[in-house]
Amino acid sequence: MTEPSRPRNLSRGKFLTTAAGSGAVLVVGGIAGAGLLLGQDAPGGTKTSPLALALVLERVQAAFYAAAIAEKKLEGELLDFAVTAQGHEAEHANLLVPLVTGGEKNPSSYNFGAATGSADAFAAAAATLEDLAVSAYNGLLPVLKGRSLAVASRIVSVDARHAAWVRAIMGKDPAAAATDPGLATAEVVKALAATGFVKELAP
Amino acid sequence: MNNLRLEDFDRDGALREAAAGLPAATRRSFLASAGTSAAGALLVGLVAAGEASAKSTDDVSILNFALTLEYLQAAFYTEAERVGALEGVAARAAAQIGAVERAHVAALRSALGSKAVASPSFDFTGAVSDGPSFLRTAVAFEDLGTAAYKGQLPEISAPAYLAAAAAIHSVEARHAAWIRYLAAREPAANAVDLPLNRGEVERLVTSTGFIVAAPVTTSVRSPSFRG
Repeated sequence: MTEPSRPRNLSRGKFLTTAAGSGAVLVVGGIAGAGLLLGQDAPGGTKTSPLALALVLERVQAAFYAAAIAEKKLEGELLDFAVTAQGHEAEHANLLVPLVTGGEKNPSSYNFGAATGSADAFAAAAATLEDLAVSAYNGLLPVLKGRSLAVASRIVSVDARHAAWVRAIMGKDPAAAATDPGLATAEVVKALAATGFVKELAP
Repeated sequence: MNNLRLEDFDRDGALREAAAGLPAATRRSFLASAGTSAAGALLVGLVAAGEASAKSTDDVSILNFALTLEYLQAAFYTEAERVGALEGVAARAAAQIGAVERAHVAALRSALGSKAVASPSFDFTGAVSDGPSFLRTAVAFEDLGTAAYKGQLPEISAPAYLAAAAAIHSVEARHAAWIRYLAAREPAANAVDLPLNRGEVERLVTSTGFIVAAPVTTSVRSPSFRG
C-alpha cells in the first residue's frame, strides 16, 4: 500500500539543511500577495478542491506527530496521544486524497523547531494545529457537498477530540468556547504560515 | 516555485462566494478569527439568519431536532450541578459544559423564534447521583450529540445554518473527548466519527428513558427523515 500521507524529509537534520539552503522564502510575502490575488482568475483555469487545504493541514499534523515521536521526548499519556493522533491524521490524509481534484499541494519540507523538543512545547503546538484544522474544516463545510462534506464532517470532530484530549492531558481547558467558528481559507493559510512549520508547497 | 498561497485552495472563488451569500452578521463571524470572542458572534449570526427568515421548513425541523438534543444535554448538566454529587474536575466539567449547552439552547431558540419547540420533561434519576454514572451518561450524550449534528449537516439548506451547526458540532466533539478523558476512556477511539441519522438518534434517546413527557409538537417525531 502506498503511503501518500507519510511526510517527507522527516529527519531534523534535513529540515535544517533545507531551511538553511533555500531560506524561508516567500511564505509570509506569498500570503500577503495571495490576498491581492483573491479577486483574480486563476492562471490555467483549473479548479482546486477546497479540501486541498485540509489535506495540507492533515499532512502537517501527521508529520508533526511523527517528528515528535521520533524525537523521543514524549512519554506516558502524551506519547499515547501522539501515536494515536499520528495514525488518525495519516488516515485523514488518505481519505482526502481522492477528493482533492485539480492537483494537491504537498509541503515540500517541515521545520518543527523547538515544538517537538519538550512535552510542553509539543502539547501547545499540537493544540494549535488541531484548533487550526477544526477552524479550517468548519469554514469549509458550508461550501462542501456530497462525499466531500461527509468525509470532512467525519474528520473534523476527531481533530476536535484531539484538541480537547491534549489539553486535558496538560490540565488546560479542553473546550473553552461555546462554538468553533469557521476560518476563511486566507486566514487558515496565514495561521499555518505563522507556525513556521511549513516552508513551501510543492505541486 | 510554489509557495503557500490562498489561490492554491480557492482558485474558483467558491469560498468567497459562499461567504458572500451569508447574512452580514454571520459573514463577519464566518470570516472572523477563531477564538472565544468570535464564539458569541457566531451564535448571534445564527439568530440573524433566523430573523432573515429565508429558510426552508426542513431547516426549521432540523434546528428543532438539534434544540431538543440541546435541551436534553443542558437539563442533564444542570441537574448534575443541582444535585451536587460531583467533585473536582468532574464538577468543573459539568458546570462548564452545562453553561455551553444552555448557550446552545438559547441560540437555537432565538434562531427559531416562535417556531421553537418546547422542552420535554426529563428525569435523570440515577444518572447524576454519583461520578461514574454521571460520566457514563455524559460520554453517551456527547458522542450522541456529535453524531447527531454530523448526521444533519448534509441535510441543512441555508449556509448560515450549516456554518452554525458545524461550529457547535465540533464543540460537542471536544466535550466528548474531555468527558471520555475524565472517564478513563479513549478520547478519540477512531480516525473518523460516524454520523447518526435522526431516526437512530431519536430511538437512542427514547431508549434511555430520560424523556418522561414529550413537548407538544409533532415535528421532531416526523419519520420523513433522510439518513
